[in-house]
Amino acid sequence: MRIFSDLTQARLVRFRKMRRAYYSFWVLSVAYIFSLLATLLVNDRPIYFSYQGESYFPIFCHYTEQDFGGQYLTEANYNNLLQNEHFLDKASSIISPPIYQNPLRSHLYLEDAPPHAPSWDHWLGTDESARDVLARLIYGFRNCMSFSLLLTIAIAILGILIGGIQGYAGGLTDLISQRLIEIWASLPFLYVVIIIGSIYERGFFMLVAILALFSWIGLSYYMRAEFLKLKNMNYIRVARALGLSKTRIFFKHILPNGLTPVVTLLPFSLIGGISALTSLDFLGFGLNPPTPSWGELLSQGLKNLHAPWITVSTVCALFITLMLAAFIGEGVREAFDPKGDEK
Amino acid sequence: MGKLLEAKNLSIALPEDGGQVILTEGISFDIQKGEVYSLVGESGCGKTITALSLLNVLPTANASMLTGEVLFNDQDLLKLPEKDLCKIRGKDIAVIFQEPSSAMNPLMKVRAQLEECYLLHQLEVNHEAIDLMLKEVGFADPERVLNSYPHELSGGMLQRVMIAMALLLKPKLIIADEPTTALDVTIQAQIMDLLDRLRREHDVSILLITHNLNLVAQYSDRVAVMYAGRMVEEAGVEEFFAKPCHPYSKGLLRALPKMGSAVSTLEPIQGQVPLPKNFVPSCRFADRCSQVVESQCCSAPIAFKEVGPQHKVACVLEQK
Amino acid sequence: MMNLLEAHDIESYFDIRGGLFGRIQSYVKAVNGVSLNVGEGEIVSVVGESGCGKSTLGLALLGLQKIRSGSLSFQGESINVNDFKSWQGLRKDLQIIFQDPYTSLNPRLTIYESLSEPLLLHGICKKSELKDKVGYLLEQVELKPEMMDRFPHSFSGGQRQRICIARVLGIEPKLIVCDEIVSALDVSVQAQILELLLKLKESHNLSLLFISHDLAVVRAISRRIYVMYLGRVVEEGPSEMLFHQPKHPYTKALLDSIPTLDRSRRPVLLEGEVPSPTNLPTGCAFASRCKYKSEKCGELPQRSGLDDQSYYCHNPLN
Repeated sequence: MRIFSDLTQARLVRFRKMRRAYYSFWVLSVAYIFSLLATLLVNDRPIYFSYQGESYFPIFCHYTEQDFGGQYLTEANYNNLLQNEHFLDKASSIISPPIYQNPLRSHLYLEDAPPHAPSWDHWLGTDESARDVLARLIYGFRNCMSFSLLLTIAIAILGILIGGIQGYAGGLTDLISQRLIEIWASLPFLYVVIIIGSIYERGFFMLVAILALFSWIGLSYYMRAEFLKLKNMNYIRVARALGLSKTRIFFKHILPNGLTPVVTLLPFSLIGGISALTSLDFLGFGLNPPTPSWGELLSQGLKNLHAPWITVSTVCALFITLMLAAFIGEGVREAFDPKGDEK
Repeated sequence: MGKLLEAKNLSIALPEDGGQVILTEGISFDIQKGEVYSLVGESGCGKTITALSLLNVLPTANASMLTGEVLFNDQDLLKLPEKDLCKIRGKDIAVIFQEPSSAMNPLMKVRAQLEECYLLHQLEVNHEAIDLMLKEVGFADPERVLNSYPHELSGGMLQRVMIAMALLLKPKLIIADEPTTALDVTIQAQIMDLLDRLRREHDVSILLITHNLNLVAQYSDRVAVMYAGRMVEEAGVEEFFAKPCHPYSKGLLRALPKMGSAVSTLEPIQGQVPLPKNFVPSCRFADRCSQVVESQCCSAPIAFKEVGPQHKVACVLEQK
Repeated sequence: MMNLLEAHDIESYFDIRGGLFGRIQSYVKAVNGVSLNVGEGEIVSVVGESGCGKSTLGLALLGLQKIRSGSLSFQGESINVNDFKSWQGLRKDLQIIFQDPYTSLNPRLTIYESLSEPLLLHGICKKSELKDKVGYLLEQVELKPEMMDRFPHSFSGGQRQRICIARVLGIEPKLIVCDEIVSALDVSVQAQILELLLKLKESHNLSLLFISHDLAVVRAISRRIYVMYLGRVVEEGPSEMLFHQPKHPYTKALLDSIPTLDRSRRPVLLEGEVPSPTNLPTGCAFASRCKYKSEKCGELPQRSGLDDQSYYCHNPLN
């Protein structure tokens, strides 16, 4: 049994042949996987060390100062410990993350007032709270990619189900839900976010949910049209005549054939998600501070025009990410273009 | 009667994965003035693509390789620059397509599309001629048709509009590509009758491309049968139906359900038409032929030779 | 001979909706009171031009198109036409094959998947025997069993139509509705499929309801014919009689308009305008094109004629 049908296989091959899109896909994927591992790669605690013959994993476990010969039951301060000679005598094989930074820690010991210009310790400088910009960019990338991916999945599920049911059922169901969707689509989304955000806490998942509730509509139109078209195909009629159940026809016979618009729209929905989160954060209606986020960095950059490293690095990161996603989207659209299927 | 158009050794190939796929090869025929010449064959035999190549309007013109000559008024249409070809297309040679509904612009009224025929050839719009032509193709009320959009007309009406459009500039040759395949029999009778009458009254020649042998028998003067990209038989219509020579022609005639005969007298030709990429240089019908002579049919290409007056066949059995 | 399927006075309309709330404004009376029956082991044909409602009738007889009124019975038991469950019970016995073989197979399923689905659904065979059964079905329609792992796009039109036949054959139905199944095919392939169908009909004891616009094909395959015009049956009878002695002027006109190989017999033209299907005349729908029209034709003609050949006409031909 094959995983993909010939048609899908041919489309994947075509996608691979589109160099720009194919490499963009890999660059973005690798970057995202790297950012998911950021806890290991960008952190200000050692990943591992052994102390008096015992193993310690500071990133994953909570250790107190007493564990390392200190006085208090508070969490150990590894920055101080690593400069403490007594500690270093007893500790061995210390493994540190390659980028020894934490996006949340303020470097208040630095001279001058923050933001600080780029230096050997802080490659892209610090922001107005003396936090490392590079670390915040990396964690911000992780947040906004995860956010957009989740949002995209939510949109796809909602759009496919609602659009699909509308198209498949047709008739009165279609008519009524279409009017309801029109009303829903005309709700001012930003105000809803502000209102809900002021009532409840603006958490990550809350934001995904709210944005998803307002962004599935476009996709549902495509799905509806696709289902309306496909349900009149002969093989669907045959399936009905053979006595297949409605759910089986829906999921097995119509859905796989109607997914083309979803697949071509997904990369663009990803772009939309990144832009939406960045804008919300920029306006201050997004994720709660001090969560690292690009939008928040941009708004800092606007307040601190004398510190161009904040704006420039964020804008570059945003530009590159959106461009890669757009290339992927372009490639997917070309590869799934039905014109290429004829031959 | 004189020759109006002559095609010599037409071959069409499509480049594919380094090599090329030959769609048709060595097609030669001529069309006399005022004659209906039919190209018959099953789908994929290359009859439509041959007709389109006469005007150098192949669907994948940029990718296809076309060799041979098409002589019309002493000039080779295939060597003519695009600008001069445009003057001939539509004016001297008109085309009627199979699907009338997709051959017309749905956003333009019939009137505008008919007037466009004149404008494209920098001629003055002749409203009287339009009215007259629409009456001629059987519309009692041309004004109503002219003010309609294509979707407001039925398939038969659209096909008649297409014919009026093709005839408007008094072409010398009409290429009719399956003009009635999408239509009902009663409408088909109307359309064919109309074409037949126009040809007699206006002395136009018609290249009729069809798979329907009954239509050929009724309306055509000469017929050429194509199989897998080659011509296998060419003859006058009466001769062809009285004495078909090529086993494929005979098979086609036997496979035809006949009105007079009752249940189970069908004799299908067994097997499949080969795909262009599997075309062999020798006889391509050999594997389906009941009279195949392995030594002669499957080795070398078969010549397309005369076996009687105006009767050519590409089969070793007939050429002895 | 027992009647397998009996339909009485079937009506099936298409709604034409409009306005803000999509109210029904008028109807296209696609099937406007059609009665027909198919006997066991019989091949019956319905012929007519496009728009006469023959395809809608075919769908309605399988419950794939809503039936507005009328009654249906299968094997002597009446079917509740508006009940989904009642149709579901008939799925195994009543099947349909469509015109266009290119859209009749799900492009994303292999032939094996397409053919095995109904077998599993109806519990025809065990999972372990599926491969053999699918192979056997393909052999029945003269295809190679090795082809089962391929996708539909690698088959020609004729081969696809064979696959469609194999799929339906698998669940061993009693009646198959064949909706224009050969009109998209070339003449030589057409004859192959018709021959195959006749052979399978004998070996599997099938009944066929053959829907077509092609009189020559209908003549070649069936013994009894219904002629439809704008939603109604205008004439029915044994094909022999219908072809040689048509009673209804429309049947005659249809026969006369077909071109044949015989050059001495030219097709005869049928003049006059076809009435709009949304606004059918109250009387005989053919009157506007009929040469034998009389004053009586303003009224709907009643069924007349002998038992085996009957017609709906005020001025029948002799």
